[in-house]
Amino acid sequence: MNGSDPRDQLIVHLPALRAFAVSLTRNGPAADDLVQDTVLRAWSSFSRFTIGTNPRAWLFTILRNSFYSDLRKHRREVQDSEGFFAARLSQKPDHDSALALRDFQRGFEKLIDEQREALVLVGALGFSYEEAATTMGCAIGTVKSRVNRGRKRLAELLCLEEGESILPTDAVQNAVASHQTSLHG
Amino acid sequence: MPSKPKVPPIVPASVARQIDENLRRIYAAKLEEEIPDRLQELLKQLREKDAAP
Repeated sequence: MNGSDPRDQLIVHLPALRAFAVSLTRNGPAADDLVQDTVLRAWSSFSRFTIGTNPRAWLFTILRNSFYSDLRKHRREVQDSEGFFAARLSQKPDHDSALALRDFQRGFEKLIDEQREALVLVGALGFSYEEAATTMGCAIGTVKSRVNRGRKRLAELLCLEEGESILPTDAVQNAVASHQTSLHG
Repeated sequence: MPSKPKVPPIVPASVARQIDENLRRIYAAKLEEEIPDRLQELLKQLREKDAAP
């Protein structure tokens, strides 16, 4: 067994796959189903995995294809995520910053799917443009354009200008620090 | 003929950084979450099946 065994890579990337599944399905239980489906599909495709393929992009492509083919097959209704996101994804120690983050999420939800997807991969999960392009099955320039347009739209929705802060960063850090002090102090 | 000025859809680097930071915050909890039992069990079963002669 070594690091390039895609079976090991599957476990390494499982948390990020779950995060990507949540962003696509906007629904916790549906995301878990999607990840389970991805694991099964990936496992049965490992024999076709060629050395030199980027394992992360390979796994994310399986998840993404699985999601869109399910969507086409069942025309499954994408459930409203606001409650889920608010309750599950933003457990922040500081009330004000939690509210600001919720505003951010609301804005983010308004973006078109292609832009959200590109921003989640590149912005949240640290994919290179090349990896994201492989995952989304499009050109690198297309990913860049989706990321740029997504950021631009978000900045408009949230009325952001240069020098202006979305979140009171110091307040968040102070809150985290005092939270930790109260835990360990 | 009036035409819209072509402005490239690029935000300042500082705004891009803040947006990415918020995105990471949104998904941080999910990334740190324990892998659910159901999924762990599935992986265990798949590995056992592979190991079987």
